[in-house]
Amino acid sequence: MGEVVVARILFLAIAALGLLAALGTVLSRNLVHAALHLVGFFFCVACLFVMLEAEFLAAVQVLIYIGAVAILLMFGIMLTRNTRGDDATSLSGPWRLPGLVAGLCLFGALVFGINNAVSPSGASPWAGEAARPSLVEREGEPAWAAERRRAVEDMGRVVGEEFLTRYAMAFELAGLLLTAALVGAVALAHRDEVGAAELPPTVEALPADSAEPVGTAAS
Amino acid sequence: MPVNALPMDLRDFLRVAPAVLLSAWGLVVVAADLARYRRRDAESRRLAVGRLTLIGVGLALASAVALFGIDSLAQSDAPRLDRLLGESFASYFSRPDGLIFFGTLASGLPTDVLNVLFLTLLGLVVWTSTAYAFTDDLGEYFALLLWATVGMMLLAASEELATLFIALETMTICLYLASAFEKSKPRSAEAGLKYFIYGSVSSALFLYGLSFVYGLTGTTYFDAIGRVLGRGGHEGLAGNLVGGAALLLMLVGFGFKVAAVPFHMWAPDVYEGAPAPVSAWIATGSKVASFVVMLKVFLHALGPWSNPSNELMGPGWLGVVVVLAAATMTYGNLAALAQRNYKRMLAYSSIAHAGYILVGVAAASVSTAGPEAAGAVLYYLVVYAFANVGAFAVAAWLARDRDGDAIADLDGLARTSPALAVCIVVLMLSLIGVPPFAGFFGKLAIFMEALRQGPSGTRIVLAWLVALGLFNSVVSAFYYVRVLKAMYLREAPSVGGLQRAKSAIAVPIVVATVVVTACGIVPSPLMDLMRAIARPMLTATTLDATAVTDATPAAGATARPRPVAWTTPSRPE
Amino acid sequence: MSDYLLLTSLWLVPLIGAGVVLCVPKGSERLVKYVATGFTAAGLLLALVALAIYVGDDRANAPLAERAAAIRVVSWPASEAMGAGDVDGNLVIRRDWIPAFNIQYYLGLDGISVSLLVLTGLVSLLACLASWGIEKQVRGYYALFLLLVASMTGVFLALDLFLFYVFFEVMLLPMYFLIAVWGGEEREYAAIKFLLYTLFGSVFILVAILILYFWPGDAPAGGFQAGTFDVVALTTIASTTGYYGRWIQDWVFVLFLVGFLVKLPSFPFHTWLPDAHVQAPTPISMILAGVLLKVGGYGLIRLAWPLAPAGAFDWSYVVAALGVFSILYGALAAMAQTDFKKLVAYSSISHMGYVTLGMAAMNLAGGSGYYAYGVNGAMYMMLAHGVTSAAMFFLVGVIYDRAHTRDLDSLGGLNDAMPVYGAMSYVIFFGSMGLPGLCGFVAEIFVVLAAFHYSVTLGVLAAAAVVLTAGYILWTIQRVFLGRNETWKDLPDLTAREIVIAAPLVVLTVLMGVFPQPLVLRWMSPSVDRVVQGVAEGSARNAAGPMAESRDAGPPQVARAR
Repeated sequence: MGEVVVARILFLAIAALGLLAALGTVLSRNLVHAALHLVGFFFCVACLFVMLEAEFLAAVQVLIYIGAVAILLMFGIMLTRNTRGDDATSLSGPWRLPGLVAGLCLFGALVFGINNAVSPSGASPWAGEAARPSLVEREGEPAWAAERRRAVEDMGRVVGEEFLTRYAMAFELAGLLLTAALVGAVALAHRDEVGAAELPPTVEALPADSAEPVGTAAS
Repeated sequence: MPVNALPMDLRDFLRVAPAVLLSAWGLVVVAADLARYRRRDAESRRLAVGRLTLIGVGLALASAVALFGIDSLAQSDAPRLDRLLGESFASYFSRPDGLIFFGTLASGLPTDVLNVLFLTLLGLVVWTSTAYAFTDDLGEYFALLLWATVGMMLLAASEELATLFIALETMTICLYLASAFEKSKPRSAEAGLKYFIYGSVSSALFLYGLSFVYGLTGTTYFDAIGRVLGRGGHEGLAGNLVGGAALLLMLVGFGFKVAAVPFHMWAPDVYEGAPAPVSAWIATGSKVASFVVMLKVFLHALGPWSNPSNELMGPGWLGVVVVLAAATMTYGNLAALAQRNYKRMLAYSSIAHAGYILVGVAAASVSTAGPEAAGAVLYYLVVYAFANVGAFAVAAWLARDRDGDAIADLDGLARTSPALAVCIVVLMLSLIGVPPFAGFFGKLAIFMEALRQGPSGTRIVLAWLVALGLFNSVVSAFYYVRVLKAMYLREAPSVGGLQRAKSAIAVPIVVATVVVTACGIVPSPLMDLMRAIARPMLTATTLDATAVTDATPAAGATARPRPVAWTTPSRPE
Repeated sequence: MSDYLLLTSLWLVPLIGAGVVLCVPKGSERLVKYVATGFTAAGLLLALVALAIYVGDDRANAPLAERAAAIRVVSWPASEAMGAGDVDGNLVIRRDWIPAFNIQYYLGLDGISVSLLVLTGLVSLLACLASWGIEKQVRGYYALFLLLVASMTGVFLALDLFLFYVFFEVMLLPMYFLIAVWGGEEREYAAIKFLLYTLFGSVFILVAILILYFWPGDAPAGGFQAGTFDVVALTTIASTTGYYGRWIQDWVFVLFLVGFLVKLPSFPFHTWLPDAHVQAPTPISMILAGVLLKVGGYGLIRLAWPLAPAGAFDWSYVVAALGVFSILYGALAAMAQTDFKKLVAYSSISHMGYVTLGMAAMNLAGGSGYYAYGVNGAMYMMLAHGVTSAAMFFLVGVIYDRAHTRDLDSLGGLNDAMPVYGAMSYVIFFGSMGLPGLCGFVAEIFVVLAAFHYSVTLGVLAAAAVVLTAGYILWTIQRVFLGRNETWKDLPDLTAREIVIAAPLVVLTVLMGVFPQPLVLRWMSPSVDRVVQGVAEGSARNAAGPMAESRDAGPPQVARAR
């Protein structure tokens, strides 16, 4: 019982931190600050992965998102030397309230829904722990539970296997996606020396925006 | 610890040959452009790169047709296939479930037909792209078109949520980038940015919805999801707000991709700003792929949630889709009435068409004809796609000669190019839905499926929806006729009018016209084909299906071993 | 000639003609005219062959339902030889077209359609001759013209609701372009008005068709399960069973009625007609008045009444009143016009009112005899009006070509300058007015007779309208032909070509007035009477109409009254 309480408190703390970090990302005017908040958010997600007994994913999260994506983002911001965000991108006045209301409604529905959800098979509510994978072997556990336990124990290998078997196509497609994003972004960001002076200002701002697909595509 | 990984069947790659070919050809095009063509002058470079791309599309098309031949032979004349391919390949191709890569992708006739469709359309779009100079980064541009198509083909073939999402992103990211390629125009950059922002937000919401579906059902396979949901009795969504939220989030995602009201805001700006061939590909290829996968997700995976209580406004997605459909077609048509810009007009008209297709989606979920009813939607999609590729080729023509895209730029076309003007008339009529052109039969098929229902609580509402659709198509006549008016009733400007169309513009228009006319006068073959492929497309069972039902004790001991079980429902009965 | 070939070539020959015309090289405009005229003439010839077979062959003029029942549907493309499923010589063919929805390529002829078919052939040939004066984009003009002819022919041939609808819609487009490109000053407005009115009307028709197709049935009908577009089968069902209940028939009837009244046109939906007529070039006005309006009437007599007889009975008084109002309104409006062409257009509205009235005068007491008078009259009115109105528009066109004005007040004294023209005009105008001995009279007397037996008020009003008609016709004659007017004294009389065009219509006006029975009614009436019989039965069954109560000897059937 005690460990459940601890786990719950930990979860709430991490989730609250993550939420704060996310808000900071969205709200801060300085792009560097926003990027740092994003790093914090990524870290909170990694912590959540740990809580879900998915250490491998946590490590990947840290390595890729914090180690690569966020750093790349920082480089991008610094190279364009445009640390002041663009004010025009914020939501215009009259839409702010409806947007807020819609978001809160969705949030409320989800909170209420997840807490009261019954699985479609009607077996048990989500809150129940019956299906939570566990590392401890139990007497008479069903085959699927044993399998799942093995998978959790050896997640790195299982993820690798899945990538090379079941999700081979998706995996390779992700590779193609990154290539495409890269090629496209380079083509867009590349500026002909001759015509540069004549280009209207909006186009100049483009590379910073269009570099983003590279970053987000990695997700 | 034993490795219980499945041996992957490498022959599966043969069945995605068109996609593999296109992906590789994209690199070839980029490399060839960099290495060989860059030094040529703009005109000949454009043609050379375009031709090279077309060769790749042709190869992929040939492989798709070959696969189509093999698959149809496997169904009709298995012994002959044996003789042609040898025993082992033949038995591989005539496997009944037709799923590859462990059930994440479908293959077989439906996929082959859609691949042929995508590649034909892509060929036309690529050809259109060579019509005029809108970008200097030709190799990259054509490669992005090819890769977007890879995304579309795999999206239409996906049978599983993770693959679906990656394919969807591949498709859309390539299109975001391609729409910003006309660097000399700020509008193009704006289009790319707008498309990107709206698209990523919708993708995020969509992903959120997917994760809830996985959480509820414990699986990402369409078929398994449908099975799990179907098992839950018919209370369906009652009291299950997560399910409802998941549905809504996924609807938002699909709504953005197909430009349904109220998620349509990006469409007019993007269609107007992007280069004409890219707009064509956004309006046709991406829409076809999105609708196909929407059919799969909503009819196959979430089918049990369509209308569980048999009341329209009860829980389930049917009511929402009906409202979306009504709003989409009405808004699209009314907004199109006000347009004087050809591309914006097409954008709003394509919103309206999305509304008609949504009627078909709603209808297919309750039609007494079962999954075959979705054949009407597929037929409509084919016809719509061809008509729009032709229509956007006209936009490319305007961009080439007039550097504009107002309907008034078409003035007097009937004098200067009478034959093509007739073709455009046919395309517009097909889009209005005037018999005997295919657009009419598409609309008719959808509306008839909407009416073909047993006694149910939804019939009256769908009947009103059909009536609304019919009146909408009359309204649509008004703005399409504006194009005809410009061509036939106005005088061409004495200088700077439209020049003679080269093959890059004429061929797509003519091909589209031929398709639309032929499928209109003899609609049966295409209609039958689409109805025939709708059933296997929407009922493909995953490899896991056997595993879900049989209670084999250990992995590895079964005839078909599974690596891990987390794709099966987490809570067995 | 097999039926298959004959019926298909009836609509296909003009269509091929359209293609051929487009293939004629630029610059040889005379050749285009000859080719187009040749194809329309071939169309008329085929229609006459069909008429000859219909009149001459007992198998061919058997009831349509019997002939249709004898035919097996052949799937398409037939694995057997072409025409394997046909019974040759009975003028009905059917093939699967879109099996998924049970849509058939189903053509057939009976007295009603064959008469309109011949009218179409004749008017289009004459209109084609009248188009020789067209100078602008001749190839496009004739291609659209032939397309229009093909689709109109198809409408009269189709026995599958869906096929009917397809031909019906195809008609719109060539008409739109013919008005919009070759029309007068306000042509664009008139053309788009025509297009939108008819498109809206056709949506109503389509909804009615879909209702018929999908209706699950109110009462068992011997295993009949809807899901068909077969007009003949649906007619039988509607008249002999209660499958389509009264409530749904009311709906279906109103939808059909609105759709076809737009085309006819009748009072509330008529406003497109004066615009279209005034703006259209002369030959197109001839087609529009001579044939296109008849499509609306044909739809009423072939679809609206037979497929929803109970609905028709329920609505009959409203429709009849609408008809009478159209007659009066058209006549009064015609009287107020100063534009010659607009006057003729309003007179068309007035005459089409007789069609509505004749169809709607459903007095079924004492058998359907009097009602049969009305429907026969309506049919005859369509033919008569087809002849006279085409001629009137042609004559207006002739004068417009010469004087370049259509203003009635500035015309006058033409009789002196153009005596042949005047003579022909008198015959046509009097025929339109309904002078005894000319074609209009036969139709009007039948309709008014039926109307009297239906409602004395309406009958009196309809009869009184004859006075108004006489008023505007005579006044027009006075203003145009009589008197003296120096301005026009040098106008040349009709050319040989114009005489060739006008003469057949003049002759027909007289012949149809003098010999209605041998010339037309002999073979047309049996079909009309069968329709009437079906409508009477159906409405009696569903509405428990007066027919069930008293059954004394009615008046003789038209067909037998030789």
